Amino acid sequence: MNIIFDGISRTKWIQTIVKNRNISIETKEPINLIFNSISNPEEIEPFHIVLLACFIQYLKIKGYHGMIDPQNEDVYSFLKDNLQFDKYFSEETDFIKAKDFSVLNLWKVTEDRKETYSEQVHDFLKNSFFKNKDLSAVKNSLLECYYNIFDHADANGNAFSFTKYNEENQKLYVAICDFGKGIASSIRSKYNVQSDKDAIQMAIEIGISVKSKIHNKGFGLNNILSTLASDDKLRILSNSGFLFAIGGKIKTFDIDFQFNGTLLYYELSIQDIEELEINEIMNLDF
Amino acid sequence: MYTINLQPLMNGKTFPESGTLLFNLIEEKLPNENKIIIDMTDVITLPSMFLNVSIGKFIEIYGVEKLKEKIAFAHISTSQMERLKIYIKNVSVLKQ
Repeated sequence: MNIIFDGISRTKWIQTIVKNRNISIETKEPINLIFNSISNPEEIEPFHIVLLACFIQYLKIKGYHGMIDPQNEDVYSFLKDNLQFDKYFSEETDFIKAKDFSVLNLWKVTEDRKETYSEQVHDFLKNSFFKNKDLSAVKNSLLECYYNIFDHADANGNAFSFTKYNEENQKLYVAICDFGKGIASSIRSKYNVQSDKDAIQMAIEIGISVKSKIHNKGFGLNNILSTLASDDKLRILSNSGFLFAIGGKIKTFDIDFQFNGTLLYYELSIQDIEELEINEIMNLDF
Repeated sequence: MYTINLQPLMNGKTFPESGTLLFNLIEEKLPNENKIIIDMTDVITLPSMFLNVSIGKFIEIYGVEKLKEKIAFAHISTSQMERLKIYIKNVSVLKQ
């Protein structure tokens, strides 16, 4: 069986995955994932990579074997040779160093190492590009996302993260995807909300939390939002809702399909982050 | 005055676990110390799942004014302090 990803449109990728999540084939033949009309692998964003990873993991859980088809040699080489994508599913590993050491590779988010990856991203940026910057906000934002997965998502081990640093615009792009129950669904199970898009918007408000765990008080997602610079974007896709935020402005949309899970995609401007300044003693006199 | 070195407290623990430990230690020292210093040497960040069970819990039980009176931070970055202040203000507002 073939599943075709046509082009690089984010919406089309999601739609392709949503359409094929309910496949049921008689024999457990390999499922070839074919990538058409993508001539430059650089166009493949963290967004696409985490979605694809979650989908392949989903197929694996269902007993199918999703394979990157070698037809598109550039994409095949990028995913298989550079990112070593297939090893995440054949070797049951959660992280493999990419062949290109300047790339932070895909990470399968696991509960016992959810703090480790955020440290790796922080240390990577600190050691390579931003020795004197205070990158605590970068680490913080990742931690909030990863804890959200294990506190609320019920993702059953199907969650992936991918970060990419763009040297040209000095932005970090972060994508985190899980095929759990979705933020919107979680919020609606606790609060009386009319729609999934309203539920996602509610989720980023301070104090809103389904309180799945004792340490949940509804500050996590707002922490991420408050870390963004004025031209940084945040996108959250969950169930039948979509949220887009930039420059303090938030827009939400209904979508005409059901995405079971949560996909978070945001960017952080590193160049504007201040230099690290450590204070000897600071009182809370404010 | 009593100093709590936070990094050893956090070593090998999740943020909620170490946050709980911090709260317990603060509560233990509170009656007998006029100031408790939380030393942030080698601690990069204090995410919400740590703060909610430590500083946030302190505010819920004892209030912001007691927090300001009794707690200070050493070797904390300016940006982390700013985030902490915002957190404390938000918790205080929610508490009302």
